[in-house]
Amino acid sequence: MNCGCNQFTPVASRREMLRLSAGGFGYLALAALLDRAVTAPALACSDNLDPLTNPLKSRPTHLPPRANRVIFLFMHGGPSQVDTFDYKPLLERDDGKPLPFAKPRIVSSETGNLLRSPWRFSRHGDSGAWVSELFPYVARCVDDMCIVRSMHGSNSRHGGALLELHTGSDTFVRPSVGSWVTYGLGSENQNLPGFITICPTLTHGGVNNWSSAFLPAVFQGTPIGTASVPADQAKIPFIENHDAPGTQNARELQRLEVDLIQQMNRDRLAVTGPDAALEGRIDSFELAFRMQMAAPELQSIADETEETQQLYGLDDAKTRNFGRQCLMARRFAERGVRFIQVTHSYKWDQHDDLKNAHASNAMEVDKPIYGLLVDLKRRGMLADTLVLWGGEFGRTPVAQGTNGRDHNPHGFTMWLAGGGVRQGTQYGATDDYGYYAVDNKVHFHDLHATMLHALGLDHTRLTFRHAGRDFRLTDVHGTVIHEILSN
Amino acid sequence: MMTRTAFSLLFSLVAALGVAPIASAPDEQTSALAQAESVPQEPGDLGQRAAPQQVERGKAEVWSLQPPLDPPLPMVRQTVWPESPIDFFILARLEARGLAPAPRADKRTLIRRATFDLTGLPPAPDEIKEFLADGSPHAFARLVDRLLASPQYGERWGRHWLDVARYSDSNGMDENLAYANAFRYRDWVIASLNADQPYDEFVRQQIAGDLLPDSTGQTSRGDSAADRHTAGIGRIIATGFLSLGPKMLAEDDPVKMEMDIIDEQLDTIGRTFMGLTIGCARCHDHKFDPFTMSDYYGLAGIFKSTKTMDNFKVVARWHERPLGSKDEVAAQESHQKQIADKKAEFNRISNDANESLVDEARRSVGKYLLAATALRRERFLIESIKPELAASNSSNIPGVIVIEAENYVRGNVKREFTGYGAEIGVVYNQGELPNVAEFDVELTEGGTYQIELRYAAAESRPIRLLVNGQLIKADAAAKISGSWYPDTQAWSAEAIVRFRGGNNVIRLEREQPFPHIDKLGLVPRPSREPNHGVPRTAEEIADAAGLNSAIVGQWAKYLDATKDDPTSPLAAWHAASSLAAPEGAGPLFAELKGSIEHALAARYQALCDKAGDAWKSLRASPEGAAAKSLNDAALELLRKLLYDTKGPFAVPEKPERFYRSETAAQWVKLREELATLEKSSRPLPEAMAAREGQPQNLKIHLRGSHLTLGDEVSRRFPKALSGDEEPVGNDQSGRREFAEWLTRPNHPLTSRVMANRIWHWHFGAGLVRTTDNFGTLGETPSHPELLDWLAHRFVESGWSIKAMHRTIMLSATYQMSAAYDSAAAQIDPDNRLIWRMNRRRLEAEAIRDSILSVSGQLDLSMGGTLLDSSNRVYVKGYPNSVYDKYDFNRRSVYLPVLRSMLYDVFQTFDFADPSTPNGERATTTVAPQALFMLNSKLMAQQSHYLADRLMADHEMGDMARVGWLYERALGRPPSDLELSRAVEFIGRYEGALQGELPGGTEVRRRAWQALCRSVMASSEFIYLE
Repeated sequence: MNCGCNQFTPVASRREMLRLSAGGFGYLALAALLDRAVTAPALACSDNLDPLTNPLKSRPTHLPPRANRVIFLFMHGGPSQVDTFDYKPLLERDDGKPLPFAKPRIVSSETGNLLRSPWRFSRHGDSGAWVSELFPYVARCVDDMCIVRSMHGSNSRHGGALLELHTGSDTFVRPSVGSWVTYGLGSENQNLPGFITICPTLTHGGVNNWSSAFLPAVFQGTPIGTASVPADQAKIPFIENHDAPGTQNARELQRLEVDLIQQMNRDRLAVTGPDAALEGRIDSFELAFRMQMAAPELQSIADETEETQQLYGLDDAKTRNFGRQCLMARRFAERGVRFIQVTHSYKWDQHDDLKNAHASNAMEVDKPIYGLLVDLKRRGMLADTLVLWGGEFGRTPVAQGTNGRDHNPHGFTMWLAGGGVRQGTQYGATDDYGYYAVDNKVHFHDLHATMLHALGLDHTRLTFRHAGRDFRLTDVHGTVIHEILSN
Repeated sequence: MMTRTAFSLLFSLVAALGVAPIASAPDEQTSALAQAESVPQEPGDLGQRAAPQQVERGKAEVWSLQPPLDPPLPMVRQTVWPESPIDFFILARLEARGLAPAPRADKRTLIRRATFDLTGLPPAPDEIKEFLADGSPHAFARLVDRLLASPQYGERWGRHWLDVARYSDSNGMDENLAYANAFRYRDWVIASLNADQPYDEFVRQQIAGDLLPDSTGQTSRGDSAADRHTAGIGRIIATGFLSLGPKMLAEDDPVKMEMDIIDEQLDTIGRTFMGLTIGCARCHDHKFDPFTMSDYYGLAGIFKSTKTMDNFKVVARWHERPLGSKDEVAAQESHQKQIADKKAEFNRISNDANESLVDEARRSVGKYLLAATALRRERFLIESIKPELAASNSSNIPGVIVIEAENYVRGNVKREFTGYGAEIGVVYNQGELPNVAEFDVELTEGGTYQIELRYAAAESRPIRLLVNGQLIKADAAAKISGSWYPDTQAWSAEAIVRFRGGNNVIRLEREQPFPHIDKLGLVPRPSREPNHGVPRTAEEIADAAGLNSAIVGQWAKYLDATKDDPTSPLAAWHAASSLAAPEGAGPLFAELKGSIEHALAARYQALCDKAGDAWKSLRASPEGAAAKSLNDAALELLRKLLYDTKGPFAVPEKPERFYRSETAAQWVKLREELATLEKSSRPLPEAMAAREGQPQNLKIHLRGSHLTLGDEVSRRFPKALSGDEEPVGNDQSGRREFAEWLTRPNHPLTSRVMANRIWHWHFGAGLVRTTDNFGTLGETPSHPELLDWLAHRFVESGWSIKAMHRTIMLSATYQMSAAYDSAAAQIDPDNRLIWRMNRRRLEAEAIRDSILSVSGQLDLSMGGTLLDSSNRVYVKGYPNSVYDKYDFNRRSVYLPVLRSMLYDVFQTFDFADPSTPNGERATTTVAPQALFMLNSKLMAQQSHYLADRLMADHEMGDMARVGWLYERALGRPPSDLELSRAVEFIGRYEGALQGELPGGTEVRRRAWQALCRSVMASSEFIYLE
């Protein structure tokens, strides 16, 4: 299989090293892997290269990339923009009065008059961005962020809005953003899935939110746990042997088995003659064997310093779970996983009990997110990691009951930080009360187009032919918002 | 300048399944390659995608819209090879390119190929033996006939069809509700294929089965009761096809929801039956195929006029139909109407009786106030009693009776005088439940006593206290004293009871163990009128005043709730009734306080009557019929008191207790009649299905939005296919006409698309590789004449799918080996010209079924559902975990298919996404598949069973065991090398386990299990030659 045109990439840094080995299982093994896992043979000399046997190979981009990977911090349920990042003095002034303009034609629940935010806002950083007291830690990072205050979608229900955010369609099953990104860029680490979603939700579209739909299954998000599994128990599917003989040398025994299988497979290949799938299958057993050696180290955080663990809030019961998810995200990012989603489980849906629940939710994520941004930055990774924060929609500035807010897809806030982002800026605006996006509106399609652009992918050229059509993440929509991106 | 070979390679890479992202091969490049590839060859030589910019719209340009020709057989040079007309078409093309067909596959390969192809299972060793022994030239034809006749055929090909029908047992999308009746459609598909139902009828039933004449009914509805029914049921079940799709059930905009559901139906129908992406024309005229928005909305009107949903609310409800003969359905409907009528009558009687009950009470507000206040005072009395015996000099109380608990006369509890009972003697549980202790108390004359208990308890163990068979208190001795030991023993006052003269029986009982009881005490209380000093119950108070006891209780509760509320209309009452007597006040104070209460009660009565009258007359007036309140604020407060359905005049629980006797008798009679009716209903099973809705046309939705409507379009079929045919009649949806139009023998697409699907499922690649797209953006056929020839034979055979299998499988083409030929591979690397058989990986189901089959665990029983979720509820596990109830040995086709929660084994091996029609499954080769083979529970279990099977025969030597394993798993004997390698593996594995595990049997079993798993993990096991 060696095409004779492999080029060894010098191992330059710890990160590079981790990426190549997925977790340091010995130099010899690493050296043995280098020619298979690291280098991508050029197309012309790979007479048996089937795209399906090596679909995660790192691929060239359409444009120079500003970021090489994505970490998406998903706040399931819909955090309120007017209580977090979208300061509205008039909402404070007109508390209790009727909304002075019409509510949307389609709403999810009945709402009343304007409801001021229970939280104080203040300006932060050199950029002077307004952030409420719900996010004291994240507020320290506003100079790394571009806060987009004019997001809008078109579906007022969780299911539809989640699918729109994750796949661009609330009507059909379509590939997830993470699948498109992995399809477009391949992976930097052949020993790990290219798209990992940590503790994803199984509601509101569930798997469809990380599925590859008609893209090949290899671009599917690999779930590590689910929203109801604590982060420290999340696992890769089939990674553990269900027949562990309870012996010391289980690995050695399994190696005997793999050797026999591979012997049979090579014999078969000798009988059939050249066959890309059968060759790919031989490779897949080696990769599988390596993956299961890499996985335990990957998911353990034992080698993280106490200082790092505290940075993510692992020392506090309130922040421990999300902190661990964020720390896992950094570890995956470090090892070259292309798209990592971290889900804060379905908690942000405050139709009532806004004061307590939003405060509690924000507290659970605030320090971990800060920890992640700081940690990425000091490791030099923030420069090429695109971090995205937000929910499937925002909430109404008008009250539902006395202490709640309804779903609001018409205007809400998401923020981006890190690689490719024009830092220390805010983009777009909602009306005086924060109900509708009015200036420089950014639809999910635009967000997707912009994210792909930051990764060096042209959203109009990243296509996949299925059922006779060239499909895109952005369908026939989407505009790259250059103002969000760095020059 | 690239060489031609390089071009070919590059083309095949780029085109292969469309996988190469455009990031590395932009569209222009693909089409440039396609042109370069096609220039020197005859048109249509190799199937390929037309470049979009070359597309001319219109019927004339789209090959698939032309009627199929019935071509003559082409001339071939090599006349010995062809065994069927198919072979002439294949060979002619091969010869034109200087290629020769691969040699015939050997018989072992053939039986394995044919058995998997038709049944999805490996051939059994004796079946192989029989086939090898059959030297007749008809051996293979006989084999094919046997396989086509086996019930497993329908399961295999039914599953293929389910891929294009996007079959699923749950909705997926936003609200993952269980489609618990979907399995009936699946079973109908399997039965239809086994019966070789003509394909045209198969199609018609799925679109309009409910509208077709009775005579064509299918027989199975997927449960045991099915056999009673013949005509009709299957045709209803078949329309489940329209309903099975994924839907956004929680969409706030009902119009959008309905149009999205119709769109999903059109998209599925278009791709499944015609290979057309008509869904594209929802928002704009089709960019590449001759379909306009008018065509789309003409068809959409047909499905707008069809009912597959009961409503479009959040969360919406899909339509289901009862399954039975006409008479049965009519009987069920009439029975349900009877129940509904009876229920209505029953409700009317109850409501009338309740209303008059409450209305009568409303006229006695004053009396209720007095009675409820009296009740509260009695209750206060009970709550405030203290244990008199707790005081140290208590034994001096005149007339007191103290009984040692251990002196019980009847009962089953243990008497203990040490430990728990040290120095005092107690009773407690000795194991027999319920715990019981009875005491006889002899009194010369009757009297009122306060009952006290002395006990110790570390946890609350409330007991029932009965006197003379009457329950006095259900939670006596419920307090926690702190331990089970004597040091925490304490008295508690439990009740005030009237004892009779002569013998009285005190009974203590508990289902669970007693607390540790030391003594019972009876303390005499002053006996006074009217009740001998025993607190009166609500019943007693109500009876004395001629009131309803339940409402007295409600009033007492209401008084409790409002006692501190200054805004309550009862604030004055609370102030007056809580007047405390000043120190030293005599009985006169109490009497005068009583007068105040009586006078106030009368005033309340008068005011409430006024409020009630005002309300009744307001509601009776035309302008007040919809009134919700009285204008007068004070009266409104009292109105609320009277009419609040949760207030003191709420309808009491079990109001029938208080009905007048004739009403009560009528109520009981009706209730019994209703129960009898309900008990006698045997609901028919139901299926997701369609029926006719309100016939109506749709307006064009500009840009696909229902908010911007254009011209109305008559319900009709696409113009490019139907020409200027008349629209369907106004009095029906047009669904039946559409189904008939779709299955006309000369429809250019229906027969071609299905013939191509059958070819695809036999060869792993269709003559048109894009099986679901016969439009301009699909590929053109590699052998257009052969496809047309097949389409003609298909229709001629009466649309018999089984006849198509025979036609295809008995060709020399099908029976070629998959042998590699480097020269041919250079010319035609993708095997588009079919110079050999394609090597195919088994699908997820076939892999699992093979594993179970080889391990001897496969259960071949058919039909029914394994879904562990009730209909219309969230799929089990949702939302906290993934559904995981797949632990069955049934064939994979019967395992639940859950959208968004697909079985991980299916998912790993490229199961078709059940959200969308899918005629070409992907075949990936990725590491998780290897992890499955090495680590999954399924592989561990089944290799364990297989090893046990091998070990069970003690006579068998290791060599013979390996031979048996190879025959069974791979359909061939092992070579000498394989034999010795396997035996050596066993030795090495055993060696590695020695010292780790005690006992040779377990070590041996583990080693054989590892060998079995390795064989099943090998490529040969999951790849078909």
